[in-house]
Amino acid sequence: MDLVTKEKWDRAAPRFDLMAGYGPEKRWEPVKRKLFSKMGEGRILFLALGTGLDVRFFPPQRNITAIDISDRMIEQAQPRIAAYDGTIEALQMDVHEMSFEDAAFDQVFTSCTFCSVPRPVDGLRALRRVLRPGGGLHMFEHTGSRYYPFRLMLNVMTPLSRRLGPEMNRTTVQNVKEAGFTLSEVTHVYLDVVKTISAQA
Amino acid sequence: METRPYFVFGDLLANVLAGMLVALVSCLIFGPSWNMFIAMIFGMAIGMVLSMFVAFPMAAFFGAMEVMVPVMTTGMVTGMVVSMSAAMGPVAAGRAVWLGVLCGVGTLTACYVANAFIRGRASRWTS
Repeated sequence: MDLVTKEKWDRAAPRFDLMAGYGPEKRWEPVKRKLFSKMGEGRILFLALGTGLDVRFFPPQRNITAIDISDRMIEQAQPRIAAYDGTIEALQMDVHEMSFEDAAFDQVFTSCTFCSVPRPVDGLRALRRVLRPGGGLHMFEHTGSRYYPFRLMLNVMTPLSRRLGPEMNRTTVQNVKEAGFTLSEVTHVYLDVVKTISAQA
Repeated sequence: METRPYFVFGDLLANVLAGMLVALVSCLIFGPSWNMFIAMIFGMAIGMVLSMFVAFPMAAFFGAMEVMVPVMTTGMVTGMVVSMSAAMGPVAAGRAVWLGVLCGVGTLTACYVANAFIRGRASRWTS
């Protein structure tokens, strides 16, 4: 397990909801609800559960396996897991070292995750391994921008934000393609920075 | 484009506050003894850094990237405008604050337009 990343998110866990729990969640709620409405009846993996802020946007009666590298985050998420009208099994696991069998899931969902995975292409390859062939990857992510001055802003913010949590200038759409997924849809939510990405394994 | 009043108000408030803060600090730092080009470069850098102190707390209430990106752009633009003005001649604090407010509103408007334009283009790339 990547202990540096684990400890960073363990430290962030007690204060995580103060920064992310209200404004960002309220602003992104319609987009997240729409994305998570794609959750089907099959086996679902949710990557980077965090403090469980997204759980209230999940459709009811789904069978979800949720992982996070930080056990402190999973502890914080327990009340939200308990309140969910369905099944969520929360496990502490590093995306790079997942213990699931090949093709174990029908769908994978992520939410602001690949800004923080240290080796994003390897992480996405690991997701492809656990997805059945043709299974869907559905992501809500923020990335870098191709446009000045936004690109400059995000590059300037990254050295600071990396210390506290996420990186701001990731090339996640490109990384999804590099990991061998077939891109099916990219929808831009804010500029070309916040977006939903759908792809097939 | 964002149309929910709570977030439009939050965007406006964050950008105006960032513009005012950066403008005030810039008019204190820069003056006619500065070379205009050097003042502009330093003003932009100081503006970006200072605006983070507005962006992070406001993001907790009004949204993450939708607040941070325009606010930092406002910081950069305000730092540039006020530092260059101060290098040309003394700028009073009151005038600097007004410049900061104008830069904040102008930059936010530009970001809303850029958002509509970029999202429109993106839909063509991916459809």
